[in-house]
Amino acid sequence: MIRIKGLTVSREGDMILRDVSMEIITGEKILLIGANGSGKTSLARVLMGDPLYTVISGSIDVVKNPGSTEKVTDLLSLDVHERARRGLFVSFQVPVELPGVSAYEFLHAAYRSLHEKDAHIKDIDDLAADIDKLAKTLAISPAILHRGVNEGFSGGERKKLELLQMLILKPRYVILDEPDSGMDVDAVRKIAEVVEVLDPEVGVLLISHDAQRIGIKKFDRIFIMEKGHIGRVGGMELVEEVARKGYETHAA
Amino acid sequence: MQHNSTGISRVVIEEISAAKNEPGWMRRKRLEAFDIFEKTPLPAVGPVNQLKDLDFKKIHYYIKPQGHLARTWDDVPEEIRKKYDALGIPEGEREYLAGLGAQYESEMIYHSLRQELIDKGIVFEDMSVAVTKYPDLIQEYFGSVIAVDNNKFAALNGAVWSGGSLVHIPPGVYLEAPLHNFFQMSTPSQGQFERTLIIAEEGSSFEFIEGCVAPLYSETSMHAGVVEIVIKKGAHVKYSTMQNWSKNVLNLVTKGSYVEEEGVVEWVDGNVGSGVTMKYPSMVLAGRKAKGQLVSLAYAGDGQVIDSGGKAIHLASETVSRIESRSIVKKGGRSSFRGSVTVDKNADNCRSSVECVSLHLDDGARSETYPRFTLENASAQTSHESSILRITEEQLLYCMSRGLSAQEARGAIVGGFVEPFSMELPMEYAVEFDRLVEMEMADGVG
Repeated sequence: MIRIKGLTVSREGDMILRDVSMEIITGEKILLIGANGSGKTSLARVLMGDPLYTVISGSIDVVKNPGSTEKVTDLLSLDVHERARRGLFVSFQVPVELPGVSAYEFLHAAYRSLHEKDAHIKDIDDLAADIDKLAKTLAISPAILHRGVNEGFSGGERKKLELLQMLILKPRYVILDEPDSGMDVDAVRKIAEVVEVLDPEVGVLLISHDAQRIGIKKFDRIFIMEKGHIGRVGGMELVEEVARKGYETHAA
Repeated sequence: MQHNSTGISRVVIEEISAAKNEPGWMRRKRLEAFDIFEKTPLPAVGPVNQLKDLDFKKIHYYIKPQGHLARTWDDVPEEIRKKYDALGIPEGEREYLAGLGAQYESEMIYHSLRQELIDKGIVFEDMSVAVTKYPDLIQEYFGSVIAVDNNKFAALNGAVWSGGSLVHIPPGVYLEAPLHNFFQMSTPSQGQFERTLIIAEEGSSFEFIEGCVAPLYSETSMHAGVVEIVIKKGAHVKYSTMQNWSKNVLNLVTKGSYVEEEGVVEWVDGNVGSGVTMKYPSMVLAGRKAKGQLVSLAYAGDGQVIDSGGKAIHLASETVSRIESRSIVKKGGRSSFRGSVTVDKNADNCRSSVECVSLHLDDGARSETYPRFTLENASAQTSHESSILRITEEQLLYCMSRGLSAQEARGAIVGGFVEPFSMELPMEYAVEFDRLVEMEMADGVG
């Protein structure tokens, strides 16, 4: 699992996260909700290793299982790609364009770097067949896969491609940052479907400001972020409460 | 015969012509070109600083091919040997590419192609041989596209040219396999003052490839080739160049095409090596509905100056031209693009688009664009776009978040940038070219 402990972070001199603690356990789904600007995306970017953020104190470690104090990997000491190679996948809220680099080439390069030590590594043709199959499931038009990654994609197409990448790259920890933004209703349904079919050993952190829209039935824990810190932790009842009363009630 | 001495004079030219047993008319052409060379100043625009110290007296103008055989593998710079390793060039081919004169394996490929050429009546001959074998073709077309006074280096080529090819494709003939200029050379270093003339008769179609992706080591510092292509009604010629000479080379090439009604010329031009490059392939669209396209890619690493571009001259109605230029520039490198489009007053409804994109790999890169449109007919539709791109932090972060190292990420992004160019290359070239890009990215960028 990934254990975030007492994480305090600044960005360009501004305090962005304060004393954030959270565990992303393999096999569990957790939900992070909160008002716009509360720091949810910042947490995703810090997990990924965005150099724009400075960690002032706290830790992010990959440890063996709940309760264990045995430190396996200090993620903060690793570069962005090394974190990915430890099984971390962070979807982007606004995925950037890579002109001329097709999804096939890009995913093949990424897959190779992530799974180079696997005994059953897929070759480029098998991988392409998998991509085509998933594109069909996600209702991604085959034509856009031959363009550059995200090149001229609509917002919804970009978000679908993020899901496709997640499914191809087979990470152990998935952080989905507002995966539904820019998607139409039909596409949003796919998110829940896709998350449900993930390997049961994958740990999921879903970040959203409108969790009900995504329609995942069950989360193991729910966190509400308020002005850079975790205001409340609870179960599914928090989702309904926020839907009724908004975030204001929880503000200190 | 003092062919291995340096310098140029009427006597040297007489000697070159005599050594080749040329007829009088070619000797006179050479001498006329020499007079023009002497009178013509160096170019006023372009890499002026790099050219101003050029000492024409110190250049070897004619080297007997056998001279190269004395060299050994140890004479080839280590940098180039390493690149051959990294590119996975086979042993035998390396010696050839490094100018050691070994047999190139494509000799074998050419052997089977030769029968097809004979069957189809295609002429593909070493230019020096062609002068006596096909004097009518040479007398009619030599210098017809690139006039001898086009520029100082074209005049120099006219005076001292050696090597190159004559290609003549009969009417309606279609050749699937591309012809390669290596087929006519015992070593690539012979390309110093190459002279190539291509004549595609009505309705014919073929592709010509010049150079190679692998770095070529050249002892000779100045290369001034001339390529002329004549495209008759409805004919289609694609001419692809990959230039990766060692950095000591000044590559000053003049290339041009003349396209008749409904003919098509496609220039694909990649310039990766050489210290200084000047090259602006031209397309004279002389017949109705003629089309010309130039897709080029230049790489200017540290200490490299690339001055390139293209010229489209629309003389007839409904002619179409497209110039797409890409350059990758590193600190200490400089890329200048000169795109010029001219539409004649009698040419109605012509279209032309010029696009120039430069990718700066760091803050020290320099690139400039000099577009020039001369439109004498109001019906012309033209567009011009130019832009400078940089690899953004967000792009790097995105790639790295999917597992690519910073270097692999840069390689992937640069690979995407060159894609519109490499997709024009023949398959095996495209693969080698992509590897070359990866290698260059791994070289200098931390």
